[in-house]
Amino acid sequence: MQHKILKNLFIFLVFFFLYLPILVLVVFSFNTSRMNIVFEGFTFDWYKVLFENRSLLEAFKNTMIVSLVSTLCSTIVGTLSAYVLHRYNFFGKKLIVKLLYIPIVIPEIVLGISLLSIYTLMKLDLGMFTLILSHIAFSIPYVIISVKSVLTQLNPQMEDAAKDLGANAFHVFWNVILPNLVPGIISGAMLAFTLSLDDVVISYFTAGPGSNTLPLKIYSMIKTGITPDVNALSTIILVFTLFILILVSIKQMRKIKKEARV
Amino acid sequence: MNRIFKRLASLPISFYCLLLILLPLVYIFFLSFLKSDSYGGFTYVFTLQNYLKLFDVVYLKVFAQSFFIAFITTVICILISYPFCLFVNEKSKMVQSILMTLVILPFLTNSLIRTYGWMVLLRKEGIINTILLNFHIIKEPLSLMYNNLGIIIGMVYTLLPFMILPLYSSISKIDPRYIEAAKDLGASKLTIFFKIIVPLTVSGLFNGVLMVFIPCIGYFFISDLLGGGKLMLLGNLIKNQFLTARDWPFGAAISIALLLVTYLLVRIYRKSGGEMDDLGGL
Amino acid sequence: MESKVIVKLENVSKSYGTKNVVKNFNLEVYEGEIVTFLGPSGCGKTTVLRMISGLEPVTSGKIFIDGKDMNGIEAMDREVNTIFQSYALFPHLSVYDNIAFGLKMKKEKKGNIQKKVKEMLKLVNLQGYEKRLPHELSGGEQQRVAIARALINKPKVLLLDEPLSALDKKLKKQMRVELKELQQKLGITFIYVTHDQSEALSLSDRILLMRNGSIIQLATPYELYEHPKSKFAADFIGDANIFTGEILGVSKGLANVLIDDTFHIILKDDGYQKGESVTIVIRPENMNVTTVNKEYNLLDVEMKNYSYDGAYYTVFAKSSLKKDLKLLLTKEKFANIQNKKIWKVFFDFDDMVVIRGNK
Repeated sequence: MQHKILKNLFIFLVFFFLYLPILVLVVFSFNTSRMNIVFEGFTFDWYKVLFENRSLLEAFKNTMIVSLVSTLCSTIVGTLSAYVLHRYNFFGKKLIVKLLYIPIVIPEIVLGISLLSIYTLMKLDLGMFTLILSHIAFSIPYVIISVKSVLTQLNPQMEDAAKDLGANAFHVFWNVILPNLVPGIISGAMLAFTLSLDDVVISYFTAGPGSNTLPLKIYSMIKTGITPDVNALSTIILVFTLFILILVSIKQMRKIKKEARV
Repeated sequence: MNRIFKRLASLPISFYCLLLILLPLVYIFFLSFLKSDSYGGFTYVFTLQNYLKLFDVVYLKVFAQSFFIAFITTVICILISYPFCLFVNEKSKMVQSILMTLVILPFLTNSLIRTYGWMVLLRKEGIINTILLNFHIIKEPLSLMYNNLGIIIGMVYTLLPFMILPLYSSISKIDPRYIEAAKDLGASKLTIFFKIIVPLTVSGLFNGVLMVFIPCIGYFFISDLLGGGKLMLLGNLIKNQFLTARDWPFGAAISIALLLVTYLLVRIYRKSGGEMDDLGGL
Repeated sequence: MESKVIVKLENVSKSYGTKNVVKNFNLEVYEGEIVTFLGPSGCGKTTVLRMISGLEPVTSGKIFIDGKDMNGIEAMDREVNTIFQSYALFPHLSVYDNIAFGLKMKKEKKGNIQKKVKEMLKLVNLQGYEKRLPHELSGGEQQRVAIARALINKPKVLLLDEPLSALDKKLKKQMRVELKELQQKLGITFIYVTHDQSEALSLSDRILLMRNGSIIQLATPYELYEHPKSKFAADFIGDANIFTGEILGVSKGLANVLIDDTFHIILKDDGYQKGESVTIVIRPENMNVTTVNKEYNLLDVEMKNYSYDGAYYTVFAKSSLKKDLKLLLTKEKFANIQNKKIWKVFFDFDDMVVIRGNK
């Protein structure tokens, strides 16, 4: 019994550690004091300030654009590519399969500076475009792996059956394979979105002056002095993502229950 | 029609691998052999100077510091993750899935914002010091950041989930009958852990090591913010070469050295029986 | 047979790298018959089927379906359909959409599709199942959906790849009957792949016995069982006592074969050469227990053990021969020998199938 309490305590402490800094930001977003030291009184003022802070909101908007667009693109390319790599043989496939693991294992900073170097080489102006392109670059492999894990579990005769019934290669993919990949696609997209929101290092090198995203904005604010409206924004993001996550978990729990019944 | 589909469908991945993976790395490799000029550019002259410079004591120290921090961080992450994953694994399936979701959740607020949260906590006049002072536990505020301690706290905090997730995934795959059989045969808890659990999770462990150690070397913003820029890590060094000192060839050479270390770790991971696909399965 | 040839294979071969899985295959399948490819797993039977369906390209040789050369024609454009071993129903589509898939690919009109799917559901006895998903069906029901999904396209030939292997024994027998009835009703040619000899015997008009990518024998079930042309055929189809020996000499229309250096079997002469090696096959049900004294082909045997299956006794007996004999006896015959220590078995001319050479 005592063992069990100690074990639960340990689990609790780890989560306390993981959520402590987030908790601090949430609490201080309601603090009347400008200094993030002592909680003096409750207020919503910083949320009001936040909605007047144009540049912070702009950074948030940019972050969302980058994450959403890069997730969309990498999910589409990743899903199609996972299928192509699984199904077909073509020139250079072996090399491609090896290259795909590179963005996952190499230090982000190396990916960041090497992308920066070729953007310079190609004379691309750093900005939203290069930022999105870079996020796509590091997300695609994760989507591919996620989709691939579902693909390998599909009945290989299904594709034969579709061909046998008169489906061409496109219809096989679109009408038969794709609908069965949905779980892999969703988890791949979630992964890409999460990684994109979390990224600091690659954005740091590949964003131009005109494309301030949240992490970059906060990075510069920390050096010049940060205001509690950042706490407010963090809180809003957290509540928003919690909301999405609860939706997803409820769905997942239903699935577990359903499987338990079968 | 079928041929056209195959051709078209394989185009994006080919372009992606070529332009966004192969070309950048080849270009960095190429850059690392060029001579930099004093205006932040480089001349197309072959030189090994950038690599020789790596053996300069100043830079060797940076390597040593980076690996030291990365090593300590990795060890702490392992020490926290093993018991955590084992304890979580004893819960019901539903609780397990909720807890694991909670491990990933912090990612959704950017890691820089969370690092800022730690600054609020760890500062001289920060929350922790204030509380400790108010309760008269300490008389002088502690130096919790702008030193190695701050960097390690930040690194462990940011990278812990990357150790927990692969380790949990390999622990949850252990057939509980092995443990029961071992208990039945009279093995102690410690024996069960070292003789059964560790060998069966060794690939998950190395997966975690890879996902913690390597980023740790490159996360310049953590040493910037929590280390106060006093301690130079390889990440900061590379960043400076590209953005401040503008010595790209030297930065490229450091990057190549870092890639070599990565490659070695990946080889060890493969030797331990790890699959490449599991590295991306967060 | 007068029927027209619907599928023709001319010197068809298939190899993966240096491994030849199908060797010089020649075959004519007639309209309306059931031809079964029978053989141990890995003999290439499924590969032949897949080459006919177009899912696997031929390495060399030609395949004709209804007189048309199939060279360069892909699976989607061939007028044959397949029932897969795992059924391969589309898990995300309802029974209705599964069955309608082929017609949708052909862009048939919606009204037409509806009408045809309805007919098919009736044919396979699944009315009212339209909206169910495959995982909500039993194995037998899934099988029927797979049949309906293939037949709705009015294929010239239906290819069946071990279609019953996933079902339990009882259902297997039932589906066997259903399949045969369906085939007779529709008159569609079936090419059926199986490794189960009893399935092949009960279902087929002709059986093509395969081994290591080659045809061993193509014959009706009766022919194959009663007159196997090789040791392999005799052994693979049904039970058999198989003896290999050498012709010692021929005289007065009789040939003398020595088995295991101890036992002489006399055969009717069929132009045997002295020294020629022959294989003699006797089915267990053709082993005669006798009390009458004959001049030849009598073997003293002793019971080793037996089993009873409700209709017959299967008896294993020792003799001077290396291999034990296997006999299938009625209750009456078994009663006669049950208490005897040594009894005699007579090898009748008509019960022995002689395979010449060492095949």
